[in-house]
Amino acid sequence: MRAKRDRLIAAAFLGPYAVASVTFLGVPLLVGIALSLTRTRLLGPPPIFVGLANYAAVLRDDLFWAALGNTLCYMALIVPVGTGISLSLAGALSLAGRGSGALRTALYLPSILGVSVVAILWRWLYASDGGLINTLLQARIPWLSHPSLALSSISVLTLWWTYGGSMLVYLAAIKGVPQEVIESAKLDGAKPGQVALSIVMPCIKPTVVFCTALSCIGTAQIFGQIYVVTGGSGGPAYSTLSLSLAMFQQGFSSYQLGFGSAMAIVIFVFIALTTAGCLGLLELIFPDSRKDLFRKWNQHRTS
Amino acid sequence: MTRIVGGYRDASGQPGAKMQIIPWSSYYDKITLSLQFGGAPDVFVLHANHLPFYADGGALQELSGLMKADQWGAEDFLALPLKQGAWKGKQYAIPLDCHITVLYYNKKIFREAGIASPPTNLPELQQAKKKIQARFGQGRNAPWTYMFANLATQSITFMGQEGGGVIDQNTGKASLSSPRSLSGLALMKSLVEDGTAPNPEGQNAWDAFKMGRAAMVSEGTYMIPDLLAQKDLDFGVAPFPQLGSRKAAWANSHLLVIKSGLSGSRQLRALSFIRHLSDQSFLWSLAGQYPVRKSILTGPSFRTKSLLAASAQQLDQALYEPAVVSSREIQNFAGPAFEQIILQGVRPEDAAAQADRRIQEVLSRP
Repeated sequence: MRAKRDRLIAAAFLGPYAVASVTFLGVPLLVGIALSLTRTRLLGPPPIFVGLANYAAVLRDDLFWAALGNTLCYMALIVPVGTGISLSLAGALSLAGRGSGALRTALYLPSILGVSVVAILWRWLYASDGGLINTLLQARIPWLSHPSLALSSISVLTLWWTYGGSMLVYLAAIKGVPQEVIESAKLDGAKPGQVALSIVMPCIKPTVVFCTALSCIGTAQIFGQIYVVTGGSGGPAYSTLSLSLAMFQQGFSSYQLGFGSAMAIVIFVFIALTTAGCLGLLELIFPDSRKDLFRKWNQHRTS
Repeated sequence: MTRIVGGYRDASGQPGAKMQIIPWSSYYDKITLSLQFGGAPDVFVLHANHLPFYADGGALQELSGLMKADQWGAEDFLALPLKQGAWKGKQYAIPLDCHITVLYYNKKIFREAGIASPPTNLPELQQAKKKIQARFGQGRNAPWTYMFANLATQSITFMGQEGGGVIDQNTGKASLSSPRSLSGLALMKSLVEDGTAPNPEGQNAWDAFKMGRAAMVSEGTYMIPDLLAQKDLDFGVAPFPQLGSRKAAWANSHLLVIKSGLSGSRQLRALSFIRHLSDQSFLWSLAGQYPVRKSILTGPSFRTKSLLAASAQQLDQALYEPAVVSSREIQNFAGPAFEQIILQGVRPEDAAAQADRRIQEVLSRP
């Protein structure tokens, strides 16, 4: 009787989420897969079933590969640098004394801004004529209008906007590291650097993995800031075009819904693979280190 | 526009019209989705290069019969803008205006450099450059002689001045890599290479002109209100100079259209609203748009009150983009090719050929 009541309560809690998930995630996903198998254009002739032709067209499309290359560049720039910045700041904040709350709030502020606000703000900062950065540098550098600089410039903007969220999560994780472990290490003569790398880092590995996975997924979907900064073109000369923007251009500029949907499914697979790759890389860097640490700690205690 | 729409009820005795302003950045997405799935307004605006997509998709009401019923002739319209409202021989739209690329110049810089009037050709532009560089030098703080504000429309203008274009008007095929188009783009690049202009920088270039960092810049006439708001800027408007072998300047029009599927009486009311907007296009010209009604263009109000009056003769050189269903997709390919050629130092033939291949694929799509 009690088990049945528990099941009902669980269903009552899970039901609304399940309905919302099916309605807003499941159904669109299925519709997207169905669309990807058709040639469909808004205000065009009725959809025609074309099988996997759209997928073949996506893989033949050199712009798709250009966007894929750019997206990998964004990931290579944003994920490791962002992780480094967030971790360093979290570490520094965990050591800070008076005023750390105000500092934490100040550092977190960029993260509460909307993507359009951030993009417009940085467009002004980057402006060749009269932009704050060029005025300070006494230079006239085309940060956003030269193909060799634009992608890096957008990456810097993204880092500034996104480091705060991970920083807070890392800070919470660092504060959650058992103090007795750290004190014991210090008593054993560990230096601050050794404590950070050999005690704190292994302890917060799950958090690092979690934040890195989120960062990989978020960066693989990078869209809003590029859209606002480049006016939706992914320019100059495709140099900032990301996979999501390429898909948006197909779906909403060209209204090729079938092709755009096929691209969306390919991006979905890409994100899954790159996130798995990131996680695999982290496992290589910290191989079972947390498990090892606690095993050693227990051995130390029992001896 | 708010004033013009607001005056419809008084002028016509009909119930007023409700207007919704949507930013251009999301306008076409919203209008397309509303036409496909419901909720589109009875009357809406399309740029001339977008008309074929909607007309071809059966979303627009053909207007010839309605105009006849309303005893509204087409004689008062300039022929070229009116032609932009037609698709496959049928009239789907009434042009409200024409906005064309013009040359904006900083009168203060011109005075200080001793330049009497804006250049009308390439030698005069080079002469102006010499005078500006002689007066202000070529340092970081010296004003540029000229800046490209909108790379896409400027590229179309320069190609047009050499007889080229993104699509060949005669064959309907992609023609960015044609000798004429490449010659226009080479002419454009030569202005960067000889120090007349910096690399094109879009909005930055426009802001630079507003800050007095450029003596000349080209943009559409729709930018006039933005310059008028800059109180400390003494600027003039002139026709875009003939830098190539012929006169041409990129142009576009706002077209007024009626969605298909309305009842007969509602169609007539929609047309009467369009007629009201067209009749009031002098007021609209104050926002930087040439009227396309001959009676308004030659009328005393426009000739004496509009900043555009001095450059109205260039309406003859208006260069509209070719009418194709997939104009948005083609823009996606042509724009980056211009950027590759002018900014990236890619061999123009290679960038243009690559863009041609992509554009031709789109044009050949069933």
